Order: sequence, then C-alpha cells, then structure tokens
Amino acid sequence: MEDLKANDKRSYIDNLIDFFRKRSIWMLHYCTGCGAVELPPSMTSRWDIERFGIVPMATPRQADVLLVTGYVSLKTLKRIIKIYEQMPEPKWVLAFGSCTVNGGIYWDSYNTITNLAEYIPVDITVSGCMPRPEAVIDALQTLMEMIQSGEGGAYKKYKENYEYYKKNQDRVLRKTAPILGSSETESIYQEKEGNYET
Amino acid sequence: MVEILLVPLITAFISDIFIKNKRLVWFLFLISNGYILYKLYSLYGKWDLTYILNTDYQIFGAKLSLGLSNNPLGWYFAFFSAVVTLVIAIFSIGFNTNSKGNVAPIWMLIIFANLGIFYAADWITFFMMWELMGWTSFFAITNGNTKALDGAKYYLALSLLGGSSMLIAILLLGAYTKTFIIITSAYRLIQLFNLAEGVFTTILLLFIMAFFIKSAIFPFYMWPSKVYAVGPEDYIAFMSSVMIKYGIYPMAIFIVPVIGNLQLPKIFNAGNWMQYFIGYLGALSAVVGTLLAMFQTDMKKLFAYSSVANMGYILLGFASMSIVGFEGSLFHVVNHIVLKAAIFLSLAAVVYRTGESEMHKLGGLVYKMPITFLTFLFGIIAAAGIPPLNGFGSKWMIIQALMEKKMVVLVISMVFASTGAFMYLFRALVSIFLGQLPERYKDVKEVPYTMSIPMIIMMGLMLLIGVVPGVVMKPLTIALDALGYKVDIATWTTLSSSFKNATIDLKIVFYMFAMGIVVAALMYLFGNKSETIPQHDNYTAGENPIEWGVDADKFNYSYSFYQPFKEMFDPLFERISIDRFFSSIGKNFEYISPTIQGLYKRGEGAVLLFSIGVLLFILGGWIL
Amino acid sequence: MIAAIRVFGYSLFAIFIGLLFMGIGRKIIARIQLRLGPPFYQAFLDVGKLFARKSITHNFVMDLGMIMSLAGLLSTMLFVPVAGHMAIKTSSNLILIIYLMAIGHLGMAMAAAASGNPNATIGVSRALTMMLGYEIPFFTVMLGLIIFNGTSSLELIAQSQAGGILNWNMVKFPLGFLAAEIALQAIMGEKPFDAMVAPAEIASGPMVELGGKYLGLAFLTHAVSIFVETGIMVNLFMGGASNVFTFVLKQFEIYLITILIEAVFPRFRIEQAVKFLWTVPMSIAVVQLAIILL
Repeated sequence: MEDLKANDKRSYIDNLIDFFRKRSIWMLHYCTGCGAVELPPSMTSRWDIERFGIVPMATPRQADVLLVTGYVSLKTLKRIIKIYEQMPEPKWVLAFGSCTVNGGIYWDSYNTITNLAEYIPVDITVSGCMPRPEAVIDALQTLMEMIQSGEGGAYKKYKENYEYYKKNQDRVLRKTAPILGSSETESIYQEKEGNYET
Repeated sequence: MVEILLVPLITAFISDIFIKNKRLVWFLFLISNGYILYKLYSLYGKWDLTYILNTDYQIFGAKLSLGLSNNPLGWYFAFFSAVVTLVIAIFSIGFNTNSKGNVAPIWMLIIFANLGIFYAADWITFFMMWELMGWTSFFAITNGNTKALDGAKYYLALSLLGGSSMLIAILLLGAYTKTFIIITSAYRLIQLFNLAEGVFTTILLLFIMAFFIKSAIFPFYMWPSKVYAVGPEDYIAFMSSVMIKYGIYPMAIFIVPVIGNLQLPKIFNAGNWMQYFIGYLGALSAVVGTLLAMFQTDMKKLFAYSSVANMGYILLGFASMSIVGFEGSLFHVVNHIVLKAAIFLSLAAVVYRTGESEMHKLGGLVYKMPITFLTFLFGIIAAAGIPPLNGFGSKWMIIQALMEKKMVVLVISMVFASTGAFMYLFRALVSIFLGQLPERYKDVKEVPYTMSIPMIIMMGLMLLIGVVPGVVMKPLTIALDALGYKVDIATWTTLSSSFKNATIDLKIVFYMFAMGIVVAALMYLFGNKSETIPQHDNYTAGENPIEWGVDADKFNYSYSFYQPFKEMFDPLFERISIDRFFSSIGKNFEYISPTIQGLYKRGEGAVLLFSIGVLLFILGGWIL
Repeated sequence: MIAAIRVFGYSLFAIFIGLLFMGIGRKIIARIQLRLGPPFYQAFLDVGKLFARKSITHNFVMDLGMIMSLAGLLSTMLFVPVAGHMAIKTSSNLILIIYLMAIGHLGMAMAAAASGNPNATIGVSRALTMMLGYEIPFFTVMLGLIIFNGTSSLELIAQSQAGGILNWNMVKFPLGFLAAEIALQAIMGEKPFDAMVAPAEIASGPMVELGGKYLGLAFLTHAVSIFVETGIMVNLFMGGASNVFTFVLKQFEIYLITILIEAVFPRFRIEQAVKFLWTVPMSIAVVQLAIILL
C-alpha cells in the first residue's frame, strides 16, 4: 500500500531517470557456476541482449546488476558480498538457477550455501537448471519493468536489515577462516604484515 | 653597478661572523636580497653601464682587465634567476631549521657568483665567477655528507675538464683576437674565421665543450643524475633550475651570434653544419634525457634527466638560428628556471617529511601534503608544456621555428621528447602523490609555512608567466632589441611566429580553459551525489589484498612503470652506454695514477693542483 | 556574455555529436556481427543513467581530474574550426591543439591513478606509452602538411583545399592520409590499439574505479574527443566544409572507418602496438614527408 503511494508521488524526473536506468542496464556477471556458459549466447548474435542496452561491464563500480550464475561456495560468497557492497546504488541482483535458491544438486554440500537471498538481497531468481538464454532475457525484461515501476529496491532492504544479513553471513563465513593460525581476520592481517615487514 | 656584487659578498662575510645568531643572519639576508632585487630592477634599461678595473698585465698581447657590464641578456638572466634564487633561499630557511649549520653565507656567495657570471664583461671575470660557482657547488653538495662525495667528485672532475677547456679557449681567444672583452671578442672571432679556420673551430669547440659540460648536454649528460641523487635537496633545486643555465647564457651571448653570422654553405637549404652540430646534440640530449628519465626509480634522478632533456630543447631553439627560435630558447630558460625550481621544491618538501626519494617507496602523499601536491602538479603541467601554465609558450616557439626552417628530424625529436615528457612526469606524480598511502607515512604532515609559501609563490609565477608571457617576453625582446637583433617588442599575452596566421593569444587559451572548467563543473554538479570512501576500498576482484599480504607498497603499481616499453629499448641501452665509457676512462685513470686519485679524494689537493695550474697559465702569459 | 553562450553552445553541440556517433558506432558494430544492436541513441541513455546514479570517489583529486579532463577536451574543441566557425575567433594553431589535448589525457590519468587501483595505474601507463607511439607518426604527417602549406593554422590548411574533391589533402597526399588514419585508430583508442582499456585483462584500465557521474564524465570526454579528433582529420585531409551539416557528415565518414577497423580486429599488446606504430605508419609518414620536402 505504501509502495503504491510512493508511486503516486513519483515525479516526471523520477520517471525519466527510471527510464534511463531501465534502458541501460550494465551487468557484472560473477561467473560462479555453469550458468556463465549461458551468457555468451545471450550476448552474441542469436539472442543479442545489447538491443535492450544491456552490456557486460568489468568492475562493480560501473555495473548496475550483479548476475550470480550458479552455485555459490562459501569462499565465493565472501567475494560476492564484497563486490555487492562495492557497487554504488541503485543496484540489483539476478540469481541464476535452482542452485541459488535451494542449493540444487549441491543441496547437502558442506561447502555451499543453499539460499543466496539469506546473504544478499536478490531481486529476481531465474528458474531452470540451467536457465536458457530466453529465460535470462525474460528475467532481465522483468527487471526492466520492475525498475520502471519503481519496485526493484531490494538494495534498500539490505541497508534496512543489515543486521540480519550480517548475522547470516558471519554464520557461514566463519567456516572459511584458515584452520592453521587464528580464525580472526585481524590477526591474519598482522601476521602477514609482520612477514612482509622483514 | 658594482655594489650589486659587493652587497652579497659583504653580507656573506658579515653573516659568517654572526653565524650563531640565526635571526640576525636571516634578517641581513632578506634585507640584502631585497636590495639586490630592487637594484636589478632599477638597472633595467640602463644598458651602457660598465665598471672596468684595468690592470697592467697583458696575456698574449691582450690587455687583462676585470670588468662588469650591464649586458641586456645578462640582466635578463640575472633578474629572473635572482627572483627564483631568493624564493629557493627562503625555502632553504625552513628546510634547514633542524640542521646545526647556517646556510645563509653559502647562499649569499651563490648569489654573488650567480650575479657575477651574468654581469661579467670580460672572459677573465667570467671565468673567475664560473669557477667560484663550481667550487661553491662542490662544497654545497658535499656539505657534511660523506655519501655525497662520490657524486661530487664526478661533478668536480667534469667541472675541471670544462674549466680547463674554457681556460685554454680563453687564452687562445686572447692570443688571436687581442681582447678579453666578451662582445668585442665575438666580433673579432667572426673575422678570424676567414683567416684561420682551424683555430676558430678549436676555440669554438673548446668553449662549446665547457658550456655543454655545465649545461649537461648530450655527451656529458650524467653528472646531474649523479649529483642530484646525493646533494641536499634545497641546493639541488638551485642547481637544476638556475645553475644548469650557466652554459646557456654564454651560448646565447657568444656562440649563437658567432655561428649565426658565419657565411657557411647550407645543407638542404636549412642550416650550416655548425647549426646541425648544435641541433643534433640538442636533439640527442632531449631524446636520451627523456628515455632515461622514464626508467629511473629515484625521483631526483628522474628530474635530473628531465633537465637534460630541457637543455636539449633550448639547444634546438638555438640551432634553428631564427629569431623566433632564439626568443623561444631564452624564454624557455626562464620557464625552466621557474618550473624546475617549483618541482624540486616540492620534491624537497617530500624528502623533508618522509626522508625517501625512491618513488616506489612513496605513494598517496596527496592526503597529507595537498599544497606540495598542487605545486608538483602545476610543475609537471608546466614541464609537459600544457597551455594554461608556462613551458608551453617557449616550446611552441621552438617548434614553430624548427618547422619554419624545415629541420624535420630536429622537430620530430623535439616532439618525441616532449611527448615522452608526459610519460615520466606523470609517472612521478602517480608514484609519489597518488595511489595508496603506506602505513609508515600515516603521520606525515604538510610542510611548515616557510616552505609552503615559497611553493605557493612558484605556483603563482608559473600561472602568471603561462597566461601573461609578456612579463618575461617584454624584457626579453627589449633586451634583444638593445643588442641589435631585429625583433618586434612582444605584447603582454600573445606569442607569434613568422608562419602565416600563427599568433596565439594565451589569454584566450586561458579563458577557454576556464570556460571548459565551468562547463565541466556544471556537468559534475548536475550529476547525482557521490560518497567519499577510503583509499583502500578498491576493486580487487572481490579479494581482500591485506589477507594476501599485499600492503600499500605492493599494491601500488609504481616500481617498473614502463616495463614493456623499457624492454623495447633494453638491447639499445645494453650496447651503447656513454656512462660506461666515461667510467672506463675513470678506471684507467685511477689505475695509472694513484697519486692523482689520492689528491682527488681529499678535495684540497685538487684545489691546490688546479690553482697552481691557473697561476702558471697567467704567469706564463704575463712573461710572454 | 555572448562569447560565453557561444562556448556553451559549442560544447553541447560537440557532446551531442560525439554521443550520437558513439551510439551509431555501436549499432554498426552490432550489424557487422549480425546482431540487431542497441538503438542509435543508446549513448544518451547511458549518460543519463550514469549521471542519475550514485557514485563513489576516493579523494578530491579524482573529482578534480575528471573535471580537468572534460575541461581540457572542451577547450581543445573550441580551437578546432567547425566548418570555418569557431566559438571565439582565434588562431587555430595545430601545435596548440595537440598540446591542449594532452591536458584532457592528463586529467583523466590523474583521476584514474588517484583511485589507487593498480589496474587503473597499469592502464594509465599503457595509455601514455601508446600516446608516445601515435604522436610521432601523426605529428610527422602534420609536419608535412604544415611545411607544404607554410602555416600551422588548421583553418588555413582547411581553406587551402577549397574547390572540389581533387584539392583535398586526402587525394593529394594519400600516403599521409593512410598513416594518419592508422595513427588515428590509436588516438581514439579503438581496437587494435586498445591495450589501455582491455576490460578482460586489466578490468577496463583507467575506468576501473569510475562509476556513476565519474564514468558519465569519462563518457562525455570520450564523446568530445571523438568530435575533436575527427574534426582535426576533416580539417586536415577533407578540406573542412562549407556548412556544419557537411562537416558532421565528413566527421562521420572518418569515424566510420575507425569503427569498421575496430569491429574486426583483435588487440595488440602494448609494446607490439608501439613497435607497429613506429614502423608501419611512421615509415609511410616519412615517405610522405620526403615527397613533400623534395
């Protein structure tokens, strides 16, 4: 209800900006799993997502949407979180395939997360194992519609519920600390630095 | 007239007596400097002032006299170098607050010798002042620092070589032209060309060798990098900006008029072989200096080679033998004095605060030293010859003159050097001031006011000369006019060459740049707001560099900045090394004669030897 | 006041044309690769989005550098005669233009290096090396034209080619045009000579830390630089133009050649690029210069 009210107040400028955002989505594909292989066909001659103004970008600073293309291991999660936090707002996350929803075939792995949305806010999940390029394009178009209507604001959720996400992240990321030596990052830093000072 | 030299000398003695009382000494220092500047200013236009001290001596039939004269070009050099020297000296107060000794007497001596060189009317006075400057430099470089001795010895040896070749040239000149007065001897030397070409060429080459050694032109381009790397930074600022021009001044008043007035056959309708000789040496210094500067790791060495390259530009302007090129060269002298002083002052500030001159061990200092950064930025923009600041105008004039004379190889090497200049200048900016700040420099502060105010003055000077080149060009053209060159008196803001429609108005360039800034700033303000984040929050493909033991030093890309480019030149540098050639000569020399080596090791021995040599020469001349 | 309005108008015009060219260029590359491609106005959408976006900065040097780079390119643009018109009537000196253009590159490089990212610094190092590579052949070609015409004013060189296509320097000095065209590819940083950007290798080089309006300013700088560089080429080789429309059309022809080369070539390594630029276009340019001199 409140969202609708907010929509009413959207000025002409806001609509224009959202139009720009919708028509120029730059993506950062974090090629984790097998989903990455679906992106080259979507970008090249056959499906050509550039006609919607969607192009791949090299760094999170330039990108609007983060594509997590498959299962996410714990070490990968750490990097994904860092990259996500480095993206300036507004930003969106597209999660590919069942791996990012329930772990997929890695559902009982000790080293893989099962639900990406617990750790960073996901705007759209694409179904399939793996999703076909059509599904990717469909998801991107849905994202465009969401942007135009002002719905795609999951990144705001991340700010509001930071404690929740942080708690979940810390819970699993503890496991990635090196076994030898201390588990605290601070001490790793000091130890490494000590080594290089000499 | 003569008081302009007496005042600094007397001040030097007085401040030597009261050396313990720092306040009094610096008060005296400023008073006498203010007087000198005022006096220089009032001497402007009075070109016929002379002061001659006649003696009864005659050497080879030439009458020996010691004289000073207000030569227009000498005034031009003296005034601008005095201004910059004063600024550097004030900087030096702050720089040396912590040291026990007092540098004021040495600075007064330097100012004395500096003015003496530019005011000398005859070769004997000139030579005395020249040598005084050489020795003062030797002691200023080594000033209580044993590490500096090697570099200083190298400088001393080259300096002596230059000094003796000049002495021989002066005596030959005296013997053949029967005069030691600089201007008169130039006229007579031109007549000598038709009578005795061999003697003429010998004299000219001996002089040129002496001047080239002082100005670090191509075959002698190593001493700046060796000396600057070890010397005290405040003095290095003086050396690199003012002292390196001592070879240019006699070139401008003596060599260029002589060569310009010769009737030699021209090659390719462009110039005679002497022009090409000077021009190619200039081009070689410009290119070699630029290439070597790119691959240095020590910032002082980098800018030493940059000075070599800039001396090359000046020679290229001389080689064009056209009035535009000549003006451009002399304009570049002042531009280089100002911009190199600014650069070295900011480097001195960096060394003062961090004690480090290796570029890859620095980084990110912009957070801590913004004024130093701005001075350095202004300096490199000026040195790169980018319009709103100085350095552009003179390079532009030199390039125009060379293009007009169709000296294509020379102008292409000039453009090569000045484009290469972007590379090394920018590399210094990145490595010293930008990038990550190492942990050990977290407590570095901006330099105190005594040092930052001179730097701000230098920034103002660079902008002033860049936008209103008339402040330099007007005195220069009036001086050249007084010397009898056919020049148009420059206007305040325009520069012109003899091409069709080739007059540029630097004021308009500045306005356009300002408008560009306004438009760009509007665009910037039009954008959504930005947030300042810490320097270490960088895109590293999701990794945390610290976890991998990558500290700021390793994170900065600054050690071998142009590695792929350098590899292209490696075969060349391995094959050709003039440095090795000289050091092999030095080695043989040391091997053959350990006694002379012993004398050189203790500075006094060399002084003694040299003084005896000079005395013998003069006595010999008198007996003859 | 009128001068200020004219400058503002010229700036907006150059930005508009540059962005339009960028959009059309993307469309053409897409068509070559048998794709539909983005709409021709895509560059405007991108810039609009970038300016509306929040961004990050590391320190004031980054802001200063980006403003300096756009300002440098804009002031360069004001010295390039557009079909004989200039915002402020002044001598359009070629050497001045070349040096002024450097301030834009310097500003951009400063902003990139100020971010403290090694990728950016590597990109800057490559860009400056590339600059030394292309500046020499391009200047050699210009030198020939300057000596031939006896003037270093871009406007006069353009005027000297008036009267039909046979008077164009492009026809009179085909070798020079060829060398300049190869060098132009490097000046524009298009493919074989885009080692400084190289997204897959050094994460788009200088742009690695730029986002939001900083990247937007970089886009505008690129747009203006396209305008300036094609403008110089049109004035040097295609005889300027009698009206603005023809001028832009000729500019587009130059840009089209660049785009066509860009679409089909892979990338040189940086030292290969410099070696190539110092051998192939340089020797062509030297031959041209020798022909002019003798």
